Amino acid sequence: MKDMSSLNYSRDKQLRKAEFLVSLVLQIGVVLSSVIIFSGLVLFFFQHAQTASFLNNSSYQQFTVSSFSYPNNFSQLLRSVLREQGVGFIVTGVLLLIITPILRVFTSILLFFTQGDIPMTIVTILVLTVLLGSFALGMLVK
Amino acid sequence: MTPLAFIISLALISILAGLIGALVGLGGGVIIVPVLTLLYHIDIRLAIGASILSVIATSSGAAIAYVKESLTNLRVGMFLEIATTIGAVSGAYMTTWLPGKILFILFAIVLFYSAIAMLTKRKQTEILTVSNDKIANFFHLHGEYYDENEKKVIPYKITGTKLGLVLMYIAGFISALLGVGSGALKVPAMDLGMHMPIKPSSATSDFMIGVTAAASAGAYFARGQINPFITAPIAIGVLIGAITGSRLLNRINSKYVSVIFIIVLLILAIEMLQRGFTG
Repeated sequence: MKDMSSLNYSRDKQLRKAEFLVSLVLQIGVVLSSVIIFSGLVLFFFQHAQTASFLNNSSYQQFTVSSFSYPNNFSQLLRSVLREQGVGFIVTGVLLLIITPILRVFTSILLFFTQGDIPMTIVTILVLTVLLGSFALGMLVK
Repeated sequence: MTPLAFIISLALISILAGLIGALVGLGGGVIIVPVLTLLYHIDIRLAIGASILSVIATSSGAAIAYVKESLTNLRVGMFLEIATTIGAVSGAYMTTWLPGKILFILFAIVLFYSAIAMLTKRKQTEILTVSNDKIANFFHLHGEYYDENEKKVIPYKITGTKLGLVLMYIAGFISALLGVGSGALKVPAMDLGMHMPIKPSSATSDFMIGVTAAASAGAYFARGQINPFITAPIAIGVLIGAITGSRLLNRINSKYVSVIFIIVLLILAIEMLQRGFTG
């Protein structure tokens, strides 16, 4: 009985550590992405000064129509960020937000592996494989 | 409306969407898509792209608090994620084949069904102390959580893993198809299908929703469906709402969470049905 309870205790302790790590990855990703998105938005209004008002004739629809173009591949994005365009920063923050759940899966693989939990490690690797596979598919089939 | 007024009003609506989303374990997407199309007259394709981002923001924002408070069952989440991600991949293929009207009507039926299932089985949701489920035992999926209302740790056993996997495949499929988190299907799959108590069920659902949404977000990005100007206020607003909502969740009684959940399901079902018939 004594051995069982100490085993449970060490499992619990590991689990707490794991939860803390996953939580940390989430917080860094989420805070960083919202800071980048917010700065991008501020920069955007500085670069389009005529739009930063509540009482003029400019309409938001110039930016929300389907024909409004923005960097949607990595080389365009890099160029936009290097030119210090607000839109480039917003897209970078948005991409970081998309990557956050994938980082979470990746962290979980490491956690299950260090715990010596092979079945859950395989399960999580399988999830990451499907995830990256669907990403590749999305890039190929437009 | 000027661009600045657009950004600020949309950010405020997104805070509300994130708050409700976190409380009931749904993504903000179900609120964001109608707001963008009906209120701001934005193209439905761009609305869905922004919606999938709000779903990720809700999930990540809410999960920060849940994971800390140990409500999320990480093992169950990861195990079921196999089914949701495969479902999302096949759902992404089907989007181009099925007419939108049929999809909305199908989803409305699924929502009505979930609401009825929650209503009738809500009182009977019993916490198991023994499980004969071989898969659940093999992967040690069972867990426990600290309930702030009852002031004690509640252990629970998982069962019905095969049913859970099938339901999660459907949830992932619909998530990719409509650009929503489909927490409305994930929570009942765990709560009713696998005997997981409601609080860990909705926390684990939120945890899973982001991973499922990330599977289709890459495609939306490559297609140019994620407009940064629309997405920016939604991402920030939903994050603020989701973090606030998830801090409230553990202080609200399970019954209230369930009642809110059922009401939201019914409202969404009517909304979906209406959109299915009016186009």
